[in-house]
Amino acid sequence: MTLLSPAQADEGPRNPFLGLAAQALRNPSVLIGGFIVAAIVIMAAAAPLLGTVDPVRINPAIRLKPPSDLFWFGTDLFGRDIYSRVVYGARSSLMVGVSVAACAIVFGVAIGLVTGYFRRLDVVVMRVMDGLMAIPTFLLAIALVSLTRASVGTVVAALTIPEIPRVVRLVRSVVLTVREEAYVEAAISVGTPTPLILLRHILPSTIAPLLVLGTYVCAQAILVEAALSFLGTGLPPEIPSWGNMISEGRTFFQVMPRLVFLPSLFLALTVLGINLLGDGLRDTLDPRIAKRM
Amino acid sequence: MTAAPLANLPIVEIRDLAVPLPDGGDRRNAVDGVSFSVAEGEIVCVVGESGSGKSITAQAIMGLLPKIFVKPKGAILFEGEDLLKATPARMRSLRGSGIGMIFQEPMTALNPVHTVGAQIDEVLRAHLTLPAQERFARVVKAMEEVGLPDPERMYYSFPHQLSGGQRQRVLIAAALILQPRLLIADEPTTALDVTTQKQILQQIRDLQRSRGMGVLFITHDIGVVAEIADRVVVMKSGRMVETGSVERILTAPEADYTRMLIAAVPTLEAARPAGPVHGPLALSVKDIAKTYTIRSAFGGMREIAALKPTSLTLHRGETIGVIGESGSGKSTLARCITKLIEPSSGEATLTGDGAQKPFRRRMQIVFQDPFRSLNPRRTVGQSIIEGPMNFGTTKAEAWEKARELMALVGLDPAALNRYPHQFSGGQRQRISIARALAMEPEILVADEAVSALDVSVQAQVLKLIDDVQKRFNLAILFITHDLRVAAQICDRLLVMHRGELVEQGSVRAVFSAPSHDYTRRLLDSIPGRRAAA
Repeated sequence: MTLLSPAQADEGPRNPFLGLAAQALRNPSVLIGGFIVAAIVIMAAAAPLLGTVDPVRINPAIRLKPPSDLFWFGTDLFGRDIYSRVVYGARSSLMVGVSVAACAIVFGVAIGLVTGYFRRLDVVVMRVMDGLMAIPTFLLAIALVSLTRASVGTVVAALTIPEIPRVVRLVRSVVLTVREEAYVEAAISVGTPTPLILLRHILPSTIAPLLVLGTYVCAQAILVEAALSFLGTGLPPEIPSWGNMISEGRTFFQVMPRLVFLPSLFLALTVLGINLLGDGLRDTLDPRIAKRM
Repeated sequence: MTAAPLANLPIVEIRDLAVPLPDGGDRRNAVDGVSFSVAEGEIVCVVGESGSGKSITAQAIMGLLPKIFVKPKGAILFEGEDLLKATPARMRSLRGSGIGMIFQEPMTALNPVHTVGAQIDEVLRAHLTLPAQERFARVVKAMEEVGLPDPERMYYSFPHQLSGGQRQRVLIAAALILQPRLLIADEPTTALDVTTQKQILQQIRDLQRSRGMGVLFITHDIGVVAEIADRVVVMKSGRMVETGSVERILTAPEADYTRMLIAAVPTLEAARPAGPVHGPLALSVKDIAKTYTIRSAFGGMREIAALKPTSLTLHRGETIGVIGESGSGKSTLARCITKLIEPSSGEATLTGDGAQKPFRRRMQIVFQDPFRSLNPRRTVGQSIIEGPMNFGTTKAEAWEKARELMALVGLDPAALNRYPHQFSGGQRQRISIARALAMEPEILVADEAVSALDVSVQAQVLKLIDDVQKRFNLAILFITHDLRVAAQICDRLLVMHRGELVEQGSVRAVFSAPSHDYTRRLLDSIPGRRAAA
């Protein structure tokens, strides 16, 4: 009788997914994107330790000051420290981006798993998803803000709802392929209950594509939040956010471009970092693209 | 079977070919020191199991090696010209006009969005400048030559409208339309049913005779070798084991490996005694049937009977073979019986003493593809203990049982915390069997359980199935398309054709006196039958 051949006996257990993670870390896009994202996250988390002052304290006596030792990036129209507002602005942007991605994924995965597995639900749920997808994000945000009032919750809800169908479609497509795999049939034949089959055998296959989609949703949400705030239908004006800063700085753009330029720079850098990370993850995690290299 | 032709000029001569593997492979060279030639008007078969380097050799000749392989060493002389030194442009013009190639998978080798005629025509457009009418005439003529019916109409057919055999004929027509001097056929009949395989082999033989071209035929099947080869090259792990005329290799092989390969091919002799098995009744299936209803967008309905009403009984200790070609309904039968799909009518009743046990504990199934039937993200231990734990066995107990079962199926119990990709195909199939046995079933359904394995591994897994049957007094429903395998392990046979049970009886009775016309055709199509007899 055969036992394991020596070549395989040396290896020990190896989770194929961990191998992919190690491979992802060698990808330059993942490294650069990951570095930028990590830097922004650290900046947001450690905001009070980075020499900032209260970003919302108004002091009309020092309006529109140029950069100095005291105010590194100068002050704005209301005498608030621009540096502190940029650093704290990372918090709002990241919070909106990550919350939208997380909410969209949680709802999308739950709906996608069930619709993909139970064919009868599929027809109904997917038509509802088509309907949701047809709602323009901006209109929905304006409607929600006018119905309730501007808050982080309203913005997150307005950005999440149109993203859910995208997640559902992705998860559903993975479920449709994986449910036909022989190992799912094998699990059915050893009597594994359906919820466990979904969680144990099907859900893990969705993780890699969801990671990639999650980065895009996050970057998209950060951009749209900035745009909404710029239009005045986003975060309430008292919250320091990059969108709000760009909006307020617009009137003095010609004389003091840095009012718009600095928050825009950080906004662009954050989105660039997240997109790089997402592209790199896609290249290493999506075997169809990875195999071509 | 035929006398080797006179020693003609070699069309292609391979001298000391070595294809290095990238670092980290299981050996230094994928192909190492291979030398042989193919002369005008002869068919040379390269035979070997998976990983023997036979396809790499063919790809090297075509200049189509995957990019991971660095420059091969040695020489490949095609009519005196070294192909390894040829420019990419020269290789492009040689492919098609000098060397034609056909592949294993006729389903994927054709582009689904172009008509088959246009795809044959593409070869002409790439190599010659001819007016459209003349090209059309040549394509039709080429399709006629490979025996495609009504070629002028079929020119405008799309691949999905053709059968597997017809698609392979289209590919042969495309490969041969420019009258190449050499045809390379890489497992061209492996994906086809036996009756179709027989026709395609005959076709290749006829075309080779009428054109006097050389054919390099790659296969894993000794039966096919006996059917078609003039000379044989046996390969193993990238090296040539031996070479010689087909008569000598088949009747007096020199190398142990060749002897093993030939011995591992199951014979058609029934291995089990003819009498009925007198175990208690385990399963009785009554008029089970499956019909699929297809609704079109315009409200029309079409019913497809995948399985017409079928009845059978199965006893403990007995193996019933269900044989048939693709689309015969044999897998549908297995899935209906194991309740993986809901039958449209009829029922399968488990009888016997285990009546208080849940259904899934009493009947288990082993699937065909050992690479897909285990979840790649879970260790084999997790896969084996999943079933018992679903029914309340504690983790410690299930794990202990898994260790015993690993030893039983011939694997190291310490390997339970490995992942499936760390095992070979045969080892994975052993794990699948261990997973099924962990449920302590009375009935085991094996759906093409050895079809994806090399013959030598196949023999071992068949022996394992035989052993566990004796040990646990299992009733086995063994589904296969391979009559030689069925002869080895079955007591009784059911022959299925187009969703219908056309014949049943003991292995001996079915093989020696087939009553249905389809069974006769099936038996007649087994490659190498005459040579083996």
